[in-house]
Order: sequence, then structure tokens, then C-alpha cells
Amino acid sequence: MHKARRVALSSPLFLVFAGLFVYPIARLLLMPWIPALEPAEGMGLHASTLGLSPVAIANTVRLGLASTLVAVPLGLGFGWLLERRQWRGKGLIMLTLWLIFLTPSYLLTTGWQIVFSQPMLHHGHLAQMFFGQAGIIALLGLKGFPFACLAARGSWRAIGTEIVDAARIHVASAWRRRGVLLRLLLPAAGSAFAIVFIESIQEFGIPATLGAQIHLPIITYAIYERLAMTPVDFTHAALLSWTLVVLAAGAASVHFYLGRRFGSALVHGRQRQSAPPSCSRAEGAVAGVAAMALLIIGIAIPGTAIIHAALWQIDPYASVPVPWHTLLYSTLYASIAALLAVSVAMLLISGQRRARGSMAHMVDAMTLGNMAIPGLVLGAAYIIAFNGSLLPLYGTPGLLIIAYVAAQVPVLVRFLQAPMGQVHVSMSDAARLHGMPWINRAADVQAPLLLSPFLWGWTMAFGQVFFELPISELLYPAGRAPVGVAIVTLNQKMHYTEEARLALAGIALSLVIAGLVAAILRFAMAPQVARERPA
Amino acid sequence: MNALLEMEGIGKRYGGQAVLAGVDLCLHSGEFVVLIGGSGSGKTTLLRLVGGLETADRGVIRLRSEVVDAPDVGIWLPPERRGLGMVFQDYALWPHMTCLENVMAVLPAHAPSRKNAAMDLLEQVGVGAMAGRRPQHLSGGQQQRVGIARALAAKPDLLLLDEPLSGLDVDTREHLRLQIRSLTREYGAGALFVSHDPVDAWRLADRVVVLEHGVLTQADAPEKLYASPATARIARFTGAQGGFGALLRRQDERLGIDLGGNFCPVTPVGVKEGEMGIAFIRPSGVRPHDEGVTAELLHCAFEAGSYRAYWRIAGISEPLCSFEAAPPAAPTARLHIDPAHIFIYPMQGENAYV
Repeated sequence: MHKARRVALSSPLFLVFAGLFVYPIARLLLMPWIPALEPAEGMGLHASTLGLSPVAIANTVRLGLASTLVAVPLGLGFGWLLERRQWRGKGLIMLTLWLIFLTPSYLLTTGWQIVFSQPMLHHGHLAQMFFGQAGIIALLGLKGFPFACLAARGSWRAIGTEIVDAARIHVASAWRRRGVLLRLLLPAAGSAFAIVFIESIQEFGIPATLGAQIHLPIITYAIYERLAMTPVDFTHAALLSWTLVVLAAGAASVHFYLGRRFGSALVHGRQRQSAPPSCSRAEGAVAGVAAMALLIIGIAIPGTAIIHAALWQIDPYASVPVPWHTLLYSTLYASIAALLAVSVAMLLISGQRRARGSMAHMVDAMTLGNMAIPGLVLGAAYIIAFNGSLLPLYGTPGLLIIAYVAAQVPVLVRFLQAPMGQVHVSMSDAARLHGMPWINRAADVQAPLLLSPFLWGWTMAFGQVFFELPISELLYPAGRAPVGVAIVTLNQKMHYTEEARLALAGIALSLVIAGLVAAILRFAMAPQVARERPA
Repeated sequence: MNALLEMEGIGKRYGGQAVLAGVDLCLHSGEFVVLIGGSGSGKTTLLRLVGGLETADRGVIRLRSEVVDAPDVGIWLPPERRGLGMVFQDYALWPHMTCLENVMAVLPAHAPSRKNAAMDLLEQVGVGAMAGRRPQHLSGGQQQRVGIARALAAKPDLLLLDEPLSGLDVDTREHLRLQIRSLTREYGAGALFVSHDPVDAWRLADRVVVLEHGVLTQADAPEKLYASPATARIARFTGAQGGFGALLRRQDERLGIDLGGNFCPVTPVGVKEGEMGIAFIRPSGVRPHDEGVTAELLHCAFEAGSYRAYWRIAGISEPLCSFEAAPPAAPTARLHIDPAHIFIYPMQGENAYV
């Protein structure tokens, strides 16, 4: 009975997984070879003149590799600084990393576009570089930097100080010692390389803004063009999606190969971390300059430019009305999608924690699969899967929200695994075993413990969905575009002032909502904190 | 005595792996049973089956003569309806509740003066002063005391304890061991205590049950277990050392093995005359004697009031140990081995790898 109940509980999750991931993505990727999988006729199939665009593929690989080469050495350096040295500026670096990570790429791009649109800079050498491949590489590198740094930091931690100390004590030759350390570093570099490369090739906001402005073909934008322009070309969009998936899978295999081939040295028992030494004066100076440069380039300059543009009309074109209503749509979409996504993610995590077989593997496969399937491909798959007479959801807010949920769930599963891990299964077991009825277990044990990760996950998903771009571009219902689409539309028409005003209003609104959630969280936890205070 | 818990032919598999294979076990009211076994032997799974946190693949489990798990007839009673208490290895206290609330949560809502009853329990286990604190502000030992108080709160007649002392230091472990024993006696509760520590078996058990690779290999009083360990692993558990190959032969109507050229009578367990076996010797059965086996002293170490001497005997790969009142003066000696402390098991199956 117990088993039957478990099967009954996990079956809907399997169905949701199959319906939201397996079916749409399989249909998209198999379409080039099975034409019958194409959606309804009359949509201009095969009439496209855009084709496969080998140029877009070559550009994507080149730009991806170049931005990876920019981000990975920086990431390794900052990762080493964060993990292996004591330095007062660590908080500043972490703040900058999180701000760069959370800021939508199209907003960062917009900030720099505004800077280089200023008359005194617009015709300079730097502007020429920015409005070219170098600008895209720099922006991709900037967006990839937090990933490189966090991946490298994790790898530095995994290497441990004792294993490096052992090399210093036992390997007399300086060259051989460097060789040993280099070999230890390879998995760290490989891991950072793979993550940044995958993030770069899957990036959509930069190609949709700066890329579109300089007419540089890039795979993600090429997929969008094939689906958004008439005649629609599903087949080539599917083939381009394949190239993205294959490139991401290739990078991931480099990561796994390096980990397996060179990671054996990291297989050791319990790791002990000694306190990192303080930075030397020279190290401190270099770290200080680098951290300030990162803050200025990554956040201060583009942020100031956006604020400046919002306050003073800077673009040469006649002003247009700001589409404020898109804020309302984004708030609605993001609230509902975040609620659903975090609920599904928490259900999956608790199922995974209790299951030993297929369910646990399914959740793992889904979260890993997310690395290879970017939001744009998911959006493309949804257009095709939900465009027929069977499930005619395309063009409805429902499909947009479902796609947001599908894109957010794998990320949330990864992020919530740790906080939910604190709610150990044995705590629920203890409640059951000591005879608590299910209503008491839910209200007194599970709900208070899960409230904090729930609200934290909701806030994170809300922020991500609020400014989401690729899925929104492909699936938004006519006349009800979310804010990301409106911002990019204004950007493409170079209405920077209106764009900046909308972006700042969006940021303010999402901060207010996040603040409200934080206040609810604090209020919800308050009674227990009060109880703890001594009388 | 009434059977409080009965398990018949219990089988459990994870994936293709059998974790428990046909386990029969009985526990009587007020009886303290220590369940021992190595890692992966299935002891925690067995405990969780009793608790209802896992379901058996086959067999029958009865609590107070009522069937609570019988997959063949589709019976399974959820944990909350089994009326048990459990102490977890990782404490499993609810972190958002104070210690007092953790205990109160288990008491029935309509119970009179819940708060006083919970407070009394906390006082009884020695953490009354911590009642208002949350578990994360307590040491491991204090948390486990709260766990014990919680488990006893609903006055269960059977207490399940899943390696409750394993994460604690020696002092705390000893203190809690005695406390667990006296509290279960006081409450008249039976206990099924999972452990891999021999000390728990000697100091707590009315009966010791040994699981090896999912099979129950012995279930006896501690004295019986010590006198007649059923398997090589249990012999080691009782302190026997070695594990060397030897031929069982008969001399002067006694069965024994050759040790350094001398014939030593042994206690054979499942080995027949003329067969090779694997022999284990307990240090407490080894003492100097003029007519014993010649041995060379390898090392001597002080160990809690006596000296543990390591001896090498010609032709045997494993060193032999003895307890001495003083360090042996000579580099060689003659040793006598009490047949009650030397066991020989068949050289097959698990015994070969012990």
C-alpha cells in the first residue's frame, strides 16, 4: 500500500516531466528528420530564405570561446582570492558578482550602449570596438565571469590546502611542483571553461540588443529570427537548436573528461581546511584594483548610464510613450510562474530525497539537461508542441507561464536542494513515528521548516521571470508583452530614455516585491525568535 | 513473557540487492535487544521496517500480536499508528521548535498539563535548563538527551534506537548508555537498539541479535554470544583476533590444531575433522605456561591498567595477543591457549574475508 501510494504520488510528476520537457524538446529536435512532427500547415513552412546560417554557428563558437578565454583566467584568479586568501574586500567582490549575475544581460548591454552613444565617445576607437565583436566578447565575458568565479572557487575548495602543501613538501623540483599544481588546477579550469562557454553560446539578451544592432548573426538570435519572422522556418530553427545542444554537450563532456582524467588527485578522505593566510601587500593592491575595476565596469558605469538616461532625454529620436502596462503583466506572470515553479521544485526535491530509483534519476537528468537546453530552445519547442489542434495553447498567457515554470524548475531544484536538505527526512519520520497526525505534521513540522526555502525560491524565480527574455520573445500573447520584451523593443529602436525608465521602474518594483516577501518571512519567523529570548 | 514484536521471514531488497533475507526475530515486553552488525548488514533497515518507515517485500511483522506489515495480504500500518518511540542517529529534532516544544509536540493535544509532563521528562534526562533553547544551540549529547525525552514522551511500550550514541564522545556515550538503560527499565519499555559498538551489546543487552549481510546469524544472551560465537565475525566482535588457516585434527580424543609445532585443543564451529578452517583466538584465553607454544614477543603496549603483548608464533601470519600484568621480561615465552577462547570456523563464505 505504501509502495502503491508512492507510485501514485510520483506518476503525476513523471507525466508533468514528460509533458513539459520530454515531449516538446524531443519533437523539436526530431523534426528535421521526421517532417510529420511539424505543427499545423499554413505557417509558411519551408518557405524561409534564412536557411541554416553557418555564419551564425561560426560566430557563436568564436565569440563563445573568446569570452570564455576572457572570463576563465579572471574567474580562476578571483576564485583563488576568495578561497585561499583573507582579504577585507571579499564582501565587495561577492556583492559585485551577485549584481552582475542578477542583472539581465540586455540591461548591462543597454548601459554600455548608452555610454558609447554619447557624442564625445561615439566616434572614438573604443566605441568602434564596442559596436563590434569585441563589445560582444567583453559583455559575454562579463556575464560569464560570475559563473567562472563560482565554479573556480568550488574547485579551489575541492583541491584543499593539504594536497597543495603535500606537493610543496614532497616535490623538490620547482618545475615538477608547478606541474603537479597545474594538473590539480585542470579540473577547476575545465569546469569554469565548460560553464562559461555554455552560458555564452546560450546567451540571448546580448545578441538581441548589441548583436542585432551591429547585424552580427549568432545562433540564439538566428533561432529567434526563424521563428518570429514570416515565413516561419521550424526546420532550420530545430537544426540550429541542435547545434546549441551539441556545442553545450561537447563543453560539458570536456568538463567531465577533465574531472575524470585529472580529478583523481582530488579523491581523498575527509578534507580539512586550514585558515587561509592574509593577502600580502602586493596581492592586496592587485586584488583591490581588480575588484574596483570589476565593480566599475560591471555595475557602476552601466548603472549610472541607465540612471542618467532615465533622468535626461538622451536619444536623438522623438520620445515615445513608456509601456508601463508591461510591468503589470510581468508582475502577474512572474508571481504565478514563481509560485508554480517553486511548488513543483519542492515536490520534486522531496520526492527525490525519499525515492531511491527512477524518480531520483529523473530529477537529476532534468536538472543536468537544463544545462544543454537553453530557454530559447525550450520556447521554440513549446511553439511547435503546443501549436496543433490537440493542445492549441500557443499565444495564450497559460503557455507562457508553463514555459517559465519549465525553465525555472531545474534551476530551483539545484538552488533549493541545499536549504531543503536541512529539513532532513528523519524530521518528518520522527513526527510520523511519534504519532503526529498528518495535519499536525504539515502545520507544525513541515510548513515552518519549508516556509523559508519556499519564499527564498519564490523571490529568486520571481526576479528571474520578471526580466526573462528568450521565452517571453517567443511565447508572449499578442498585446500582453512582458517587460523584457518591451525593453528590448525600445532598445532595438534606440529609445534609450524610455527603455531606461522602464528598466528602473521594473527594478524598483521587483525590489519592493522582494522586500515585501522578506518582511513576510521575518514576520512568519518572529514568534519563534521571540520565544527564544530569555525571560 | 508476551511477544511485543514478532518478525517472520522478513525480506527487503533495494534495486536488485537483497538487504534482508528471511529474518525471524522476536522481542518480548520489557526486553532490551541490541541489534549489531557491520555497515550494510541491514540493521537500520530492519529497525525502519519495525517503525513503518519502510515496507517489507515479504514476511510478516506483528506488534502486540497485531499484524502491521504483511505485503502478501496487503496489510501495512503507518508509523503514526504503531505507538512507538524512536531515537535517531542524527537526533532529528525539529529545529524551529524549542527543546520543550519538541517534547510537547509528541504528547497528545488533550493530555493534561502537557507542559509539565514535557518539562519533567527534560529534567529527567538532565536538560531541563535547556528547555527554552532551540536544538541547534545544544551540544550533540544534549540534543540526543532531548531526543530520548521525546521518544519516551508518549510512553511507548517499544523504543527504537538507531545508533543513538554513534556521534558522541566516549564520556557522553557512557553516561547516556546508562541513562537509556535505566529509563527504559523505569518506563517498562522494550527496546530495539541498533549499534555497531560491542560495548553497547555488553552493557545494555538482555539479548544480542547479530545481522550479517541481511541474515540473522545469532540471537542470544550476551554470555551465550561470548561463549559460543556462531560466526567468525561474531568471534571478532567478542574480541577474538587472528584469522589464520589451520587444519582441524584429532589427538587424544580431542579436536585441535597445530600451533607452532604444538597441538592446541580448540572449539570447532562448523568445521569437521580433517578440514581446513580459519582460527581466531581471544587475548583473555592466552597466558604464559611452561608447556605452551613457543612465541616471540613483538611489541608490548600499556592499555588501561594492563599490558597488551603481541606475540609471533612460527608458521602463523597473524600475531597473537595476551593481556599481562607487567611487561614480559624475556623476548620469548611459552603460551598456553584456553580451548574456550580459540575458535575455528569453515574457511568459506564470509569467514574467509573477516
